Amino acid sequence: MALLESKRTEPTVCHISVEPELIHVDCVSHIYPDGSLGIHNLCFKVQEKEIVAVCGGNGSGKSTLLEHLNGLLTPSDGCVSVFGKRLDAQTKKNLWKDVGIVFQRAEDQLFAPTVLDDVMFGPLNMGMSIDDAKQVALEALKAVGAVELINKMPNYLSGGQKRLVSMAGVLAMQPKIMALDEPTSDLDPNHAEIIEKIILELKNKCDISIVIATHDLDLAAQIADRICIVKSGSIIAEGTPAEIFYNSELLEEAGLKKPKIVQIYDEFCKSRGLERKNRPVTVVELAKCFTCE
Amino acid sequence: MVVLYIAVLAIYWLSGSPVKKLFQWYLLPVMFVFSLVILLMWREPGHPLVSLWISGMNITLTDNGLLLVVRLLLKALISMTFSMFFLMTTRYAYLSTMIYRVFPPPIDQIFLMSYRFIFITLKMVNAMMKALKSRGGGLIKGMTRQSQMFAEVFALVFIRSYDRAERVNKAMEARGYSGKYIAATGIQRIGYVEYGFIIGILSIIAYQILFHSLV
Repeated sequence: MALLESKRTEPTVCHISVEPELIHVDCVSHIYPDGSLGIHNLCFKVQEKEIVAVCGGNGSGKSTLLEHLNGLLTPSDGCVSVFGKRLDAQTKKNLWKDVGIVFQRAEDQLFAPTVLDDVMFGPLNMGMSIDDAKQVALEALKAVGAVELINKMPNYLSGGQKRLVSMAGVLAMQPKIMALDEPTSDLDPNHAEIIEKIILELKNKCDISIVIATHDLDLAAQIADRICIVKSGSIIAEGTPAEIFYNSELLEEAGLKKPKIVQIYDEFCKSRGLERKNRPVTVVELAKCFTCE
Repeated sequence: MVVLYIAVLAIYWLSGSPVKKLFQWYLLPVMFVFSLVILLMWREPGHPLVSLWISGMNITLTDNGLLLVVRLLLKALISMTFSMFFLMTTRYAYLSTMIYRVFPPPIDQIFLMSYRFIFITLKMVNAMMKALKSRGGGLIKGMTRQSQMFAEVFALVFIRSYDRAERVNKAMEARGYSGKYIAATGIQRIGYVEYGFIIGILSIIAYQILFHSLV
């Protein structure tokens, strides 16, 4: 990543909820050992029961931010607080139990000989007995719809199955926050839809806060409560999907394309000479707009 | 040893493992043995069988020299056949539990991680070879260029595996790994018949060691 300066110093902050903060990233910068800047003066928070999508192009700093959330990376400057406690060597030790991270490449996450062994890995490290860990692992696999894969070797799983298993591996630890790095990259539309549904269920049924790093704005539009746009290691805008995705200039600056729903609605309004009264970001909202207009 | 080899081969065949493949795999131990004995076999004292003149030097192959080759070859083939039989008929869960219980750390950890590592590395090599061949890499004639190409592939595999290992380690640490990987798959307890078999085999081995020399 090149050493770049963000043009904006103040992010565009729109309507933000005042739910309690679970994670607070306070003006954090991270410089990699080779001198390249990962993130620069980045402020970010995760609140209870929300899905935050961190959107940006390749090399914008999304993954770097995610790795700060569970202590894998240490800030060069600034601080990260989790559940009100500042991260230090002591608090980082057990942070992995509360903040789970699913990496972009599922291949890197699956190292055990069978799926069940892999999903049991986290619970066993938490000190659970083998029977309890097995029980929890089976429940996690059931939650992602991958129970039939328990005795399979990770080598023989498809890309979508690997992604489901890697999510189960983190879910089995029953974290309060889950960070997903590009959860639908390399997936076919069917598996991407499955992952979307799982993410929504985790938030609605399990009360887990989710942070997704993605450049897939269609995914972010469908499921996110809040969007943070990242460019050159800094957050340049933050708001609801409707506020962010209808800001063409902002998206262009960040090197992103509008979600398809937004493109369809814009084209629809343009072709009929209509004023854009609404800002649909999901399929359901778009259908309602078509019905009304 | 011939009898032992035939017995092990028969057990291998009876287990349903592929015998034809086994004979193809024999090439490796045979090459290994010959690379070791090629010089040694000419130095054994005994009844001379064949004499050769090479560069003004007389070298003689004796009966003991030939027996050395046969003995080493048989040992290599017996070990390999039995190892293949063991690996092909033992489920990974049993093997990992045995390794976990028998070997001290970090040897058990290395073994347990190796299994997946082997598959990942083979996949990496496979992908690279495909990429190579798709751009005419397999058509290169000439030993030097081929060797160079494979050396480059090997170096790349080495570097990438290191890079991959770092990423896997990070993912493991993100799930609480602190240096101890537990082999947790449940296995059945062995029965009295199996205990009896183990005791019988150990008794035979002990008898052979104490009262007869094991060749």
